[in-house]
Amino acid sequence: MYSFKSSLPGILMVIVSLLVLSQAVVMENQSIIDPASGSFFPALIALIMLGAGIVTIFQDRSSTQKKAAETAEQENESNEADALETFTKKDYKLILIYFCLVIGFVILLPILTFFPAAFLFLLTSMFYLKGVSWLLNVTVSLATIVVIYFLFSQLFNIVFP
Amino acid sequence: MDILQQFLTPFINAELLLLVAVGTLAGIFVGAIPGLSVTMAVALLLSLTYSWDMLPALALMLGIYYGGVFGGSRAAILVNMPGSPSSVATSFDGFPLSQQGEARMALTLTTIFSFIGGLVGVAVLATAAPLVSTIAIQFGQRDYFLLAMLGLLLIGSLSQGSMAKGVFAAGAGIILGLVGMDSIGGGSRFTFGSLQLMNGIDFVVAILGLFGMSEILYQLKTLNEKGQTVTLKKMVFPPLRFLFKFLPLSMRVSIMGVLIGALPGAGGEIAALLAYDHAKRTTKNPNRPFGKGAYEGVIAPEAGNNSAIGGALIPLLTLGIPGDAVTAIFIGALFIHGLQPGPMLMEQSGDLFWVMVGSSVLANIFLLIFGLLVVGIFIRVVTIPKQILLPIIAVITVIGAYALNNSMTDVYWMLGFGIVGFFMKVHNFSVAPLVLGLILGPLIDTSFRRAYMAAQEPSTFLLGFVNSPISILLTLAFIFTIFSQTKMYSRMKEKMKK
Repeated sequence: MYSFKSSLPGILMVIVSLLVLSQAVVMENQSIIDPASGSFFPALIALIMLGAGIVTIFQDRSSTQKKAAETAEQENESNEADALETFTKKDYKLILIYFCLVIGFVILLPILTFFPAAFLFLLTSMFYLKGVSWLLNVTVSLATIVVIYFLFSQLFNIVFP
Repeated sequence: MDILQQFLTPFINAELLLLVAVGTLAGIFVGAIPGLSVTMAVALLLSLTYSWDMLPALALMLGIYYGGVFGGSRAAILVNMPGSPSSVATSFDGFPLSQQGEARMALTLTTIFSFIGGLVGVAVLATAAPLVSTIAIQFGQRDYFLLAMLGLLLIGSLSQGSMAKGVFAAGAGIILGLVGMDSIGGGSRFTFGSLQLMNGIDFVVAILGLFGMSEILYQLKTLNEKGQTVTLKKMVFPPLRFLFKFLPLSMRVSIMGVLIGALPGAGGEIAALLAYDHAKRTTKNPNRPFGKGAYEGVIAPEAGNNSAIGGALIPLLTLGIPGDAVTAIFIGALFIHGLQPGPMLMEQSGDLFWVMVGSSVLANIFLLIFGLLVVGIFIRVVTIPKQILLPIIAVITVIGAYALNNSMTDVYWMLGFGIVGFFMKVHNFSVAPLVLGLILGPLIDTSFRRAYMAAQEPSTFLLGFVNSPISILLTLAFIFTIFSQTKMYSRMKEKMKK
């Protein structure tokens, strides 16, 4: 089970490349064997991606084996591959809820227009992320939307929703 | 004469002058705040300056680029949290200096030598780029193809994570870039029958999602990480003899920095680390041991990473190959303003080149001014909590995506790319090759097919790769890059060392 989880990125890579490859094959009005047509090149890229996916599966497998051997000796060794494990369930939950907040902001944006939507979003975000007092929260939120509004509409000629 | 006039344009034109100044100052702050990256800032600017003329937009982006790379050192020195990857090496000796009450000295020294490094970079850019472009002008379709593929391969293999993942990301980028109308045959590709996809995927939206939104999500993990702070003592100015003492070292690492920056795929962070290493090996009597607050240890990486910018601009402007993620976005900016980055760029819009060189010099001058004047404020800036910072960036990213075409659909696409980018980061995929593939994909596709059509037969097409000197060189470079990633190569290297 552990080895399956560790080779998940590689397996996903293979699936994605196969999907791309199949889409290239069924492409209308193109002939896959003619390099000058529109589907030969994407198919070639898909094959390269497929190769990269397969390589990754094997690399991940050997590195997890190596890591298992290493961790038996010393626990606190940390390397780049460990980045995956440093994301705990709690982190993911925080990130997911925050992303939902952003989506909520995007949905509300055309309904409420920029000022109320952005103000509401900033207020709830800072409240949700904790560590900021209410007074500071309100001040920063207000200041931000005013600055963004004037800066963007004057300097960057942006039309706000 | 023309050249001098173009070079001086940013100095004379009040608008450009102001934009470079604002850009540099903003860049310094962006760079100084841990969690805000230069790439993110340039990506945001690309979307916000969509409606601008090209020169002002590029001037602002260049200012941010120089300021941002430099600004990273502020946080590295003051709170031991490098503001950007290219100032990681600066923190090795920068923070120990702060702890011993020499924060101001470290900040001033890095400013002066960043300025010197930056100027060396620009000087090399100004002399080398015209030379490279005279060679590059002879490139054929096949060479364009090879060049673009080589760039992708390099940026894929040299960026963090494994080469296979980098190559995969680049491939996925190319495929995403091909979505929409086929520019040669006229059919639709990967559109799944959707009319909206016929126009292709807007790479600015992708850039915003991949570098902006995904970064916000990723940073949430380190929400409560705070650097250790130090107190600033009163103003000290380094004695003049320091300038002469460290000048030779800074020149050496600056030259190194330009060369490394010019390599596609290797940018300021590698330049800074190698510069640090060089300083460590060549300095006989540092004022303190390296790692404990040696002046050379902050000077070398900062001179190195700033000179690398000039280097990174060389392949960007002459070959259309970006040296790092930021220059990949610059390529996008050139595309937006109707220019084709590549060998023809210098020929067709040489004025652009000299204005960019002029802006770079100007950005370095402002960097020196701001770096020396604004010191005290950084201690507050670098400790802005992420709880405040991240929501603000989220708002800017959303508005930036909306502003492109005044469309909410773009915003949803941006969010989608944000999620994809987040998971790529979690699983050690580098995002830069994906963006580069997305931007270069159509170019690679058309040059490949045109080269094939010109050759007519498969055998002549394949022979073409070894028929002209340029093609041979590029093909060899391509093969060597792949080979250098194999185990056989590293084993051979081991043997050579013995």
